[in-house]
Amino acid sequence: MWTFFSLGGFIAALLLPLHMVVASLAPSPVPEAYGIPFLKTSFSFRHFLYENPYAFVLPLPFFPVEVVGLVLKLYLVALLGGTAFHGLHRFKYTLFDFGLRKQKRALNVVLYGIAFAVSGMTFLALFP
Amino acid sequence: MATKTVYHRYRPHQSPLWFLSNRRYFAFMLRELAGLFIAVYAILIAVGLFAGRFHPVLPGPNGSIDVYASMAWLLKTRGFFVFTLISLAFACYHSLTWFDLFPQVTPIQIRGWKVPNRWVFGGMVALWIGLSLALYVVLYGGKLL
Repeated sequence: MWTFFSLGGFIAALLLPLHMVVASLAPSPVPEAYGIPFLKTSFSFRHFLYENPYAFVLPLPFFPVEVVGLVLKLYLVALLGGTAFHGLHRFKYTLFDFGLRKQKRALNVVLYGIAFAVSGMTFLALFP
Repeated sequence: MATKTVYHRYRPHQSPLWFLSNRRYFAFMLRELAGLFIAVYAILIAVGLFAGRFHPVLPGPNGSIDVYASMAWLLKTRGFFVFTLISLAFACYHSLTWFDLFPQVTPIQIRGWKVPNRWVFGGMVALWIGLSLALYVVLYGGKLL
């Protein structure tokens, strides 16, 4: 569990703020072309390459859409699963601090259960 | 006359609002609370993805509901926008405190020379910004200028 928490902490710290800005706050959100709906409404890969000269510095856009899509899907599973593990682990200790230390076993089952469910649901939703 | 000593069992008492007594404790609790916000955000997105994948269309009061379209709409509502803004502030606070904590948990040494904590913190922030910009361009198809 601690490994998941620690890894999730790194993922959440480095990737989550950007995801929040791009996926939820920016006026035009994330790629639908990669088979990930509701995260972007209009996106064209060729248009993106044409419009974005910086992308040529980085190798990923040269790969086929399927490969980039796979990377993006794995990224989302790691992001959401890792964030859930990290966040709920910290929340468990918040509840400890509020005096729920005796209910440790129940909290473990519920909170880590939710974190496993989030990871599993994201995986099932993105990988048919 | 022998006196009988009565022992009272020591019962530690801690107020549920103990963290309000000190600024540092409050900052600590704020950091812990950030965990809840980022977890709730992840859960909402995961549930939306899952529901849309397995029940793309649900029956509603005025005909059927497209789940993905509803999620896209929900992300754009004012309430969710404010929630995401608050979560973003918490997430940034959580990230920065983690970068500050990192060199204290795992001190980095190069041939016996300890890299100063501030340098490690600066490096982590640079990594954070660099990685965010790279992913913004590569995965999210954003433009830098």
